[in-house]
Amino acid sequence: MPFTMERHERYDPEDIERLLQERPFDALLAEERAYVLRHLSGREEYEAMRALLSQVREDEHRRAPVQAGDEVRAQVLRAFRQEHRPQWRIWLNSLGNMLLPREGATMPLLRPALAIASLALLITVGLWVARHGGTDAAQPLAEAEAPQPKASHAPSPERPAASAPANAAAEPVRPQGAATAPAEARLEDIVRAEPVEQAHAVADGEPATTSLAQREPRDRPGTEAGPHRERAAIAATQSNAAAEGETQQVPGDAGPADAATRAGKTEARAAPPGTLAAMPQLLALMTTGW
Amino acid sequence: MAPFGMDYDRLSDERLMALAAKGDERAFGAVYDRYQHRLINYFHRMLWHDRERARDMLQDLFTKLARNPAGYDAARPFRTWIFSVANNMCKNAYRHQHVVKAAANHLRHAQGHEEPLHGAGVDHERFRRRLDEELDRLDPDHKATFVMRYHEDMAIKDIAAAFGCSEGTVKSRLFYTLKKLAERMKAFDPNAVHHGKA
Repeated sequence: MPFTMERHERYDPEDIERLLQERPFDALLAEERAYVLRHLSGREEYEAMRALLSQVREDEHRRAPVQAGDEVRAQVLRAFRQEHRPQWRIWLNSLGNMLLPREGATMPLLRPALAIASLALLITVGLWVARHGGTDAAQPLAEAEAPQPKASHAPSPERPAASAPANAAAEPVRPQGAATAPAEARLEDIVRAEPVEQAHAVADGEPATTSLAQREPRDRPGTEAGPHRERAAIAATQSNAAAEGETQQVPGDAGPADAATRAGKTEARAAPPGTLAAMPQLLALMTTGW
Repeated sequence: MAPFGMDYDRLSDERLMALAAKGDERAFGAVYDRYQHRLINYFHRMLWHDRERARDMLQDLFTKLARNPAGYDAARPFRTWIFSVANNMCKNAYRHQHVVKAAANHLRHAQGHEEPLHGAGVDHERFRRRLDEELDRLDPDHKATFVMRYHEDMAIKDIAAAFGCSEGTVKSRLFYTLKKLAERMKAFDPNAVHHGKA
């Protein structure tokens, strides 16, 4: 059998349909023709089938397609939405059914409106609670105010300058109400209280508890001045501990920062706790222009 | 298209169905838009060119799909799967209409539709009507195979997948359908006219 270069193609022996589409009977290869003739009566039948196939394809191009219409699409998408409705919306609609059980002409309008209104109400309530409820968020960041037991203090009137020594022991223990006194007034009080506080001052490096132990026999709790002197001692101890820490951090360096620190230390010993003066480090930073 | 939105036109059918299963309405709408023309025309040809019935079948098919998008077998190509579903729906319709349509066909042939051709040209409208009638007389599977192949331009392997049969079975069906139709519609054979066998 001669080998034909231009017809070098593979075909499926069962694929008569493809042959019908590709070539007329006269253009078939010998083996293709032999296969076709095994299933068809002859050339006429092959050509009749080939013509019918051509007419069917031509007719397909001529046919006007059938349109479904927009309402079918709308129905289908409505069914989809109904099936995939979010659960929260179902809950709100059931709430609407509970509140307004009678179905009326307005229900289809009220139900989504009820859902939206309920949601808006919840959001509003939530925002209000978040804003006004809970702890008071208006507190300043750095309020120099020591926690004071409220019951034992009465609001103290302005102290006269002559009674400074007698009041000095109680000076560090300031009632809570006086925490907002002007800084100048506090400074005066501190200066006045210095002689008494220096007597209680502990040298740098001594443990803070020593001063408290020393004061114990004199200032027993339960005496008239006991609670006040005890608090003063505690305050002084705190200021001394702060001073010690500062000394350890800045060992012996002379300079404006150091002088300010020492001044701050002195003030801290005399300064009432909870005030800015009671924090020498912070005061030193502010003085040096931090 | 929104700058950050998804371009649904570029997604495959399978991807769109996966999104629809998660509740994406736009994805489901895109699937509907892709297949509604082909399916309604398939139903129209398969169901005796009844336009209303074809619309009802289309709506029924997509409504069932909308209620259960996860029912789509993701292991199969969506195109073959949906035509398989459509074919099964047509078979069910045939079972219900078998008695009615058999009587209608008998009546149609009793009236005689063998109208002679005039001239060498082929009357396309008459050819179409005659072709539709002959297809209605065929076995439903043979008819469906013919329609899928020559009206829907589906590949042999896709038709085989839709029917769940072999490609050889599809080719055999096509061959014998063509042979039968060519024999019944000899009057429209231009070669026969050309050769003086009108």
